[in-house]
Amino acid sequence: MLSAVRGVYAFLKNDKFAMVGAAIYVFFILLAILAPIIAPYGPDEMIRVDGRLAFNHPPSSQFWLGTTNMGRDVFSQLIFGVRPALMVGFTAAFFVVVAGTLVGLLSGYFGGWADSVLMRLADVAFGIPFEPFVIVLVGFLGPSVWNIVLAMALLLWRDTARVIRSQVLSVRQRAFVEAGEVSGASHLRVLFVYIMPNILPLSFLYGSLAVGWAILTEAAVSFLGFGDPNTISWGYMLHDAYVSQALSRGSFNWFVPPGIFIMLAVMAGFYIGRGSEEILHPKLKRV
Amino acid sequence: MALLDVRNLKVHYRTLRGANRAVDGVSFTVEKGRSLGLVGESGCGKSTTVNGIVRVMPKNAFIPEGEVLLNGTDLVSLPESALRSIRWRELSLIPQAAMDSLNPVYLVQDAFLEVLRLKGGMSKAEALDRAQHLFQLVGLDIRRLKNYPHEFSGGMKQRAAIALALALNPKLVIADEPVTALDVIVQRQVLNEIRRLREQLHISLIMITHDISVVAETCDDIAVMYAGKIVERGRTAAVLQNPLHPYTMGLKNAFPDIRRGRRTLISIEGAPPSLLEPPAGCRFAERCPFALDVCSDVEPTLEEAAAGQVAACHRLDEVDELQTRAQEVETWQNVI
Repeated sequence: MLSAVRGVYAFLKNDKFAMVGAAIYVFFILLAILAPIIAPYGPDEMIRVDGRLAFNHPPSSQFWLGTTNMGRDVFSQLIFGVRPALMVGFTAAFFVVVAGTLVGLLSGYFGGWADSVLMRLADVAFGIPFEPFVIVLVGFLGPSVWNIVLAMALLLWRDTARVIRSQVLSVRQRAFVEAGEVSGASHLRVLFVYIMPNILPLSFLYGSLAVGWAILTEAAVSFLGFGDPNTISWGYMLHDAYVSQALSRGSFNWFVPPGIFIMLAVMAGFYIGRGSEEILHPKLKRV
Repeated sequence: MALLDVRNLKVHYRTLRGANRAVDGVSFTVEKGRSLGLVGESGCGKSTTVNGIVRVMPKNAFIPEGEVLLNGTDLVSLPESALRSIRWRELSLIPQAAMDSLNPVYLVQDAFLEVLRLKGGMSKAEALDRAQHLFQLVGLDIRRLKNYPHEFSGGMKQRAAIALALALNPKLVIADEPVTALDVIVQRQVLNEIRRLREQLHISLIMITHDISVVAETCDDIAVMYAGKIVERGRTAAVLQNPLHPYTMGLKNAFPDIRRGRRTLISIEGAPPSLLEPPAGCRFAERCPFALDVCSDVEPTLEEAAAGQVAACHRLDEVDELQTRAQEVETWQNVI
């Protein structure tokens, strides 16, 4: 365990981009854990000052990023918004990676009809436009962040599965796989002990990209108004600001911060992915 | 009784255009403690022969006929599960691409531990001990057991593969072009290692190669293959001194000889016949400068022409004359 941590650190030290990405995620995770301590108000608390609703306040020492038209503190919403963002990002990435890796492994290793069935399913998943699908699914199952996660898990395994499959096709031709097979190793052993460790970096790459992608999707769906009304997410903040004409009033303090945070989250995922790509292709490493 | 007795082994490949008779009736024996070199040009069936012996074959390969007796047990008819308990313990294979035979994500040591524990039933401590012993045996530093395969050079990987093949004291080791991918200096080191280990551990060896000089240095006996058949077989020194089959003569011409000084190497023109529909007579007839009419009609059988040396040729009685003519460059030109 300790050596794994040290290995990750050594990798990050060598790659500034990955270091920045990891730092952003560490920052976000700390924010999510410490949100109640950091945020001065509750995310949907309607604040009164001297008995009057404190709506549309500009940034001040009391309201660092001002307030919304309903008298809610933008800074507190921003901090609490980290929680749904990370929850959506990590759970969606987890399911996408696990499903995609499993499908890719089975399809590439067994070939034949298993491969045909799984890859035709992937074709179908590729054919379905992603955001309309999310909206329709949320429309049927009701608006909830978990339904957005479900929609991602149902569709986004396709990219991972395709790439993992092609990698498995190449790894399974290697002599050590054949040696294992003729020595009597079971399919499961060949698949998970011999082949899987060889493709895990690729899974990790797709996982780190999927985190950012999931956060972006949740934001987009929430912005369109199909988000979870009980969860204050960054996308919800943007939606809220948009429908209450914050843009025309020039309340940059309201809609710019969530935009920046969404951007940071997506960027961080991409940077980590980019760094882990260098593990995959050692030739990309700068000497 | 010979340790390994291969009788009329045939290995064919199913293809869209019918069966490819890659190995078509091959017989030889390997005595305990002796070594046999299997030589021939690319595609003549050397690798397919040993793949058939250990029954590690591509899916479209099958054995229509033949016996492979290892200590009297026929491997061809043995069920897969019984065969598995023979591999590693009774016979093992040093693969052609040692570079590729170690899993890049595990330590070299893990490959040894897996075989020794799962196949040899050793405890972890015993297995580690044995792995270190094997590493010393092939001249590798035991500290390198804790390296990943990519930290090894080509020669070191090949040595590790040899050590792995020796893990459970097999009686017969089959080496499929063990030094082909290495440069000549490392080739020499690895060959010396193989020879030393064989003498030290009394192992029988089958070595596949297309390099006659490798056989000359390492093997007691030689079998020359052409187009899926053995055309000549005997003691290495005798066969190379006194080749009986025109193909062996041609093969010998195509290699430099350090004692005979500078001379032009003579190549055999043409390519081996298609094994989808092999010719009726001698398979070498088309490229043979000494071919008669009978050669393309009647298939010659292996006959003993000198002590312990057999060859399949219709003109064995004229061998002295053929040997003289085979030295001439002109003989081999415009045959086809």
